[in-house]
Amino acid sequence: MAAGLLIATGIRILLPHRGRPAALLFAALAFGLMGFGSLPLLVVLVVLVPLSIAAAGIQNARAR
Amino acid sequence: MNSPSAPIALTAHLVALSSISCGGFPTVLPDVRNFVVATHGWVTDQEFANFFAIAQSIPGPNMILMMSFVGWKVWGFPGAVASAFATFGPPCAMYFAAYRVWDRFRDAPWQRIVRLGLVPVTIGLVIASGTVMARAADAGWRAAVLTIAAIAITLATRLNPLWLLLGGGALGGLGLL
Repeated sequence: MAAGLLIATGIRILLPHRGRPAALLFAALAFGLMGFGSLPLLVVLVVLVPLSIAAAGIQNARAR
Repeated sequence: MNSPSAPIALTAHLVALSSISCGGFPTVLPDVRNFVVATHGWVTDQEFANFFAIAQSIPGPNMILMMSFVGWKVWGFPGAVASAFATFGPPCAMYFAAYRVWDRFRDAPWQRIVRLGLVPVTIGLVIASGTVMARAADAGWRAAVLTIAAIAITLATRLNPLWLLLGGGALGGLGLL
């Protein structure tokens, strides 16, 4: 039950970003790598955070 | 019996994880579980899930409480205190140190881009934490149905989560899970 609440909280926070495909992709990658890949958190962050920020930067530049 | 180096290893690991816990400590729960359950066997999967459930059902800073339970299991009361400090100490120190810089550049375009980049990764980690906790409980198909029901009810209604926790506790107490 408590795990379900945590998952639902994550999904609820994700909903406002459903119009951003890159956000959905990086959320899915973080979920998959951590939830099922059992990779260390530091590896996941070092790989995904710079790429996600870069994607957000590109999206921001295109929107201008 | 845990080795004498166990509390030091646990505390050091919690310090490292809390220092990179973007989005809150729940995002590092899968890593904590890997360390204390899979790697060292200090805590069983069921105990880890129980700590999570108890911590979630009590008001207050529940992740500090949960890590205190883990620390208690490894090294008794000193372990609980050390784990609690390791959980909230580093992020608090980093927050106080970084706040001035972050606030000074709050209107800078790059800060918005960094936030937009961090959010999806953090959300994915939160959902992964919930999934790992659900798998750690491993109480069969009834618990899986209950987890899915909790997700659906939370997303579809504005029901206070406390009712869901009480309902889950009651079902567990009646031996229905």
